[in-house]
Amino acid sequence: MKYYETMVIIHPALEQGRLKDNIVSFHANINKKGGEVVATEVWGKKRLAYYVDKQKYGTYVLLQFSGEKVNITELNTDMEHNANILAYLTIKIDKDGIREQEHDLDTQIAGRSSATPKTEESVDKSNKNAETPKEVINEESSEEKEVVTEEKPEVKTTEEEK
Amino acid sequence: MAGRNMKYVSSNKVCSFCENAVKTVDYKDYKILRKFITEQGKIIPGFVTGVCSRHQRHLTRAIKRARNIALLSYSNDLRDL
Repeated sequence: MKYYETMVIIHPALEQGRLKDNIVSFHANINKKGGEVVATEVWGKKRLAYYVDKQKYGTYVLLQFSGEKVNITELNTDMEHNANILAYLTIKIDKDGIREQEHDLDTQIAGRSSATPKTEESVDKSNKNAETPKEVINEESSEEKEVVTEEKPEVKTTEEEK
Repeated sequence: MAGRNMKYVSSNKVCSFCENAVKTVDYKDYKILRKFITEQGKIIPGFVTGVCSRHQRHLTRAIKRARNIALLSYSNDLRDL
């Protein structure tokens, strides 16, 4: 038996019902391709490290499945054509890497969606933090300019002496 | 007095993954991976962090996977921060 896991970033506009429909359709697709879903984990809406399809946020979902002959290439092409998926990553894992699913899909989705406002606050904080280095850089650049201006008069004086 | 590579003065460090008996480095633990990349997003070599060569191989693979799925950034321009 081989074990795989797929990490999917779903479009942030999808919430609650539509998100669940999508995840259920992934399950159906995996079953169709000869796999059996072992565990699903909804990480919730997170800020992406870089923009993907002009989106700043994305809902991370982890799907772990097993099977003898799972057609991974077909699964990946299906995800490539799905407009709701921003990015995906399928890898082969050991049996030890399989996580125990603690909660149902509904409770996971409901729990994560209620926690989304917190992420917006954290973003504001990160922006505030991001503003401080700018000032530091400006100060450094202004210092450099001052050094340059100080050097110029010296050169002039040497020319005058000549 | 100062050596050519004073930036990379190595000391006798122990691999943090070996200490904790970690078998494989997972790309999902991206918060741990952040310790092994620079502010710019570059992977720090093992002889600086003290990670053994075996775990460094696992680490680079995990970091590259995390970059692919937007958990870590490929590069950070320090001027934009």
